[in-house]
Amino acid sequence: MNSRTTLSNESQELNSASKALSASVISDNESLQAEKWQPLLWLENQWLENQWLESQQTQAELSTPKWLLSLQQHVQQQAMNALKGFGWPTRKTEAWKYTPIAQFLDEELLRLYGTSDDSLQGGLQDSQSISGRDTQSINLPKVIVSEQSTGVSQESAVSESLVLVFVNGVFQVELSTLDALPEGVSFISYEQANSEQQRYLQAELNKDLPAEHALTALHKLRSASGWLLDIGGQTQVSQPVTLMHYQDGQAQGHCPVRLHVRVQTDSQVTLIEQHQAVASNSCSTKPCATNPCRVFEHPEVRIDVQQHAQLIHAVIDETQSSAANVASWHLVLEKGAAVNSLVFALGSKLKRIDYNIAHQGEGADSKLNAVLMPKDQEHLDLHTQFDHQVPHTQSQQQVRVLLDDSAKGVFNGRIHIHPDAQKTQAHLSNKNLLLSHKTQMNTKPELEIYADDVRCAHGATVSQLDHEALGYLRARGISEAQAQRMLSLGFVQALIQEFPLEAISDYLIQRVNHWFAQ
Amino acid sequence: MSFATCIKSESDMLAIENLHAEVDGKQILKGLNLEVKPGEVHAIMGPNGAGKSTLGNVLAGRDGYEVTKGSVTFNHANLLEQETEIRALNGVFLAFQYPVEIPGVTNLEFLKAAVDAAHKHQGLPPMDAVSFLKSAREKCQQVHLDQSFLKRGVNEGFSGGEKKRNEILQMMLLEPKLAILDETDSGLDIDALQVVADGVNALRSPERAFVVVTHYQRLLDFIVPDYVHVLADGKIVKSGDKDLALELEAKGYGWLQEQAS
Repeated sequence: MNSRTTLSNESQELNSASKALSASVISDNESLQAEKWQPLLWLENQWLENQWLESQQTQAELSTPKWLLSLQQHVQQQAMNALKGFGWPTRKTEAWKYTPIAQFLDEELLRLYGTSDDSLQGGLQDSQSISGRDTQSINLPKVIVSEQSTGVSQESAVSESLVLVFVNGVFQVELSTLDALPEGVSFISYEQANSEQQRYLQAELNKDLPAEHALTALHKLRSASGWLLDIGGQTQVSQPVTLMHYQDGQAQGHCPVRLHVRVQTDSQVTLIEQHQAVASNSCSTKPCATNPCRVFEHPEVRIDVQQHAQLIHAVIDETQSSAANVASWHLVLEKGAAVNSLVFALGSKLKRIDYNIAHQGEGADSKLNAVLMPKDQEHLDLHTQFDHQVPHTQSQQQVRVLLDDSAKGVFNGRIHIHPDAQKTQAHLSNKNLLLSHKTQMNTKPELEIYADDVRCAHGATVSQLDHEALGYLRARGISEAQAQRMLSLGFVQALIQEFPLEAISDYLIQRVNHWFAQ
Repeated sequence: MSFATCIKSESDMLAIENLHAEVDGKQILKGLNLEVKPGEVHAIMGPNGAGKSTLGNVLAGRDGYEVTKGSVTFNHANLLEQETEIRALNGVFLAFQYPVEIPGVTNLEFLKAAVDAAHKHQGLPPMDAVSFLKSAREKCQQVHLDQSFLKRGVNEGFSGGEKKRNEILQMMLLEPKLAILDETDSGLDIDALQVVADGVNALRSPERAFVVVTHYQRLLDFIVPDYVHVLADGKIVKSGDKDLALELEAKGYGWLQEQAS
C-alpha cells in the first residue's frame, strides 16, 4: 500500500529528529506529567522541523500525483493552524470536558515518535509489513448483509454482496468485492481520481466543516490518504454497500484515512459501516504487543448527499478496545436530499463519536437513531451537530444510551439554526437508562437558533429501570434478571427496529441480547 | 362462628391466619383470617380503605407491603417466604387493579416470556412460536381484544377496559391455581364486565380457586360466589353466601362497622 510506506518513511524521519528533542521533552514517562510537556508545541516543532511532506517527496513524487501533494500540504498547514486554534484537548476544553483524551494522545505521540529505537524499529517493521501481512491469519467475522439476508431481487445482476474491507485503516483489495460494484458506482483512492473527481476532492478538502475540534484537525494532519465511494447520478443501488473496518488487537501502525462518499443527484444507496475488533495472533511476539496503539482513529467519513438523493446509513461500531477510539462523520445534504441513519455503538476504554449533518439545501430531511451501550469501565461519548442553513429543512434525532456496571456516557447534541433557515423543523430527544448505581451519564441537548419562524424541540432524561414495571413482569413469573433484560431491550428495541433493513435490525437485536449475556 | 374462623382443613389451598400487614408504616391489615379450598369462589367486599387491595398485593408479594404478623399457607407451603415470581410460578395470579404500562416490550413478547417461564417451572418444553401465537390469538378473541393488541407495548395506551381485559387474557394463558381479581370490575362498562366474567367462568374448575375483590354487587351477578366476606378495618367482620352481597347492596357497610366496634 502506497499510503502505508509513506507513513512509515515519515515516522522514520521523525524518529531521527525526535531523538534530539527527546532529551529535553520526552526522556521518560514522568515528563509526560511535567508542565514542560506541551504536546501541541512539540507536535508543531515536529511538523515544522521535519517538514513531513518534504521528507516524503522523493518517495512520494514517484507515486503521488502533484495535485494531491500540494493539496495535502495545504490541508496539513490548515490543520496545524486549526489545531493551534483549538488548543490541546484538556478537561477545560468544552468539547472534551467529560471525555479525558489528553493522556491517551500523549501516550500515542510517545508511542509513535518518541519510543526507544528497538521498539520503534519493531513497530516500523510491522507497519511496513502490514499491507503484506497475511490477512488470512486474522479471523474476520462475517459481514451482516449477505446476499441471502437482504432479499435482493432475483433479477439483480450482482452475484456477490458489495463489501469493501479495511484492516487497521488499510484497504484490502483481495478481501473486497470491487468487481461486483454495479455500474455507476466506483471506489477509488485519491491517486486514482479522474480530473472531475480531483476537482471534487480538492473542493471537499478545502472546505471547513462545522463542529471541528482538535481531534478532527489532528486527523487531518496525520491522514495522507483517502478513498472515494462515488455513486453516479440517477443510480439506484439495490444492494447495500458494506464497508468493513477491522481493527486487530494491537492496531499497530494503523493508518488514519479519510473516506468520502458522494451520492450524486437522484441516486439511492444503502451504506452499512461496520467496525469490529478482531483478535490477531500474528502480532503476539512482536514488539507491538507490548506497545499497542493508544488512540485508534476510525476513518473520517464525509458524506455528500446531493440533490434529491437518498441515503440509508448504518454505523455499527462493535469495537471494545483498551485504546481510545475516535470516529467522525460529516454529512452534507443538498436540496431535497434525505438521509435515514442508525448509529449503534458499544463502548471502549474511551470512545468518541461525532455525527454531524449540515442541511444545506431546501427540503433536506434527516433522521438519526442512535443506540449506545457502554458497560464495565467503558466510556462512550456521542456528539452530534445538526446545522440547518437554509429554509424548509427537517431533522429528527433520537438517542438512547443504556449504561451498565461502572460505564460512563456522554451525549452532546446540538441543533444549530442559521439566520436564514426559516420554517426549520428540528427535534432532538435523548433518553438514558442507568442499569447500575455506579454508572454516570452526562447529557447536554443544545439549541442555537437565529431564525424566528422555526419549530424545535429538545429534551433529555436520565432514569433507572421502572420498579413498577419490574414488579409487574415478576408477578407473571418472569425472573428478575429476565425482567431487567426485557425492559432494557425494550428501551432500545424500537429505535433499532425502525431501521429499514431487517437483516441489520435482527442482527442488532441479537447483539443487544448478547451484550446482556456478556 | 364465622366462615373465616372455621377449623383449618387439610384440603385448604390457601390459609391466611391472623395476617397483619403495613404499607409505609401504616397498619392496614389487622388480623385477617381466610381459608380457600380448590374450586371455590370467594368475594371480598368492603368500604374504601378497608384493606381489600392490600390483601391481594400481599398475597402476590408486591414491593412495599410488609407483613408484620401472621401466616399465609398456599398448597402447604409458606407463601410469604416466596419471591413474587415464585408465587406466580406456583400458581398465584393477581389481576392488577392498575395494570402497568411497559412501552418497548410488546404484549406478545411479554405473554410468551410469562408462559415460557411457567412451562419451564413445570418441566414442560417451551411452546413453539407458532402454536403460542395461535393460542394467544384465540384468547384475544375470547376477551374481545383485537389481535393488534399483541403487537403493542404492554398496556401502552390501552383504555381502562382494555387493560382489564388484558389482565384476563394473561390469566387465561397462565391458567393459575389461585386467581385474585383486584377490583377488575372498576371502571368497566356492562359489556366489558360480561367479558371479564365470561373469562373467569370459563376457567372455573374444581382445581382452581378465585378471590374476587370488588366494591359492587354487580359483578357478582355474573360471577356467582360461594362465599362473600366483608372486610372492614383490616379484618373480615362478616362472612356469608351470595345473599350477603345483596344485603350489603341494600344496607351499605355502616351497620357492619358499628357491629364490629
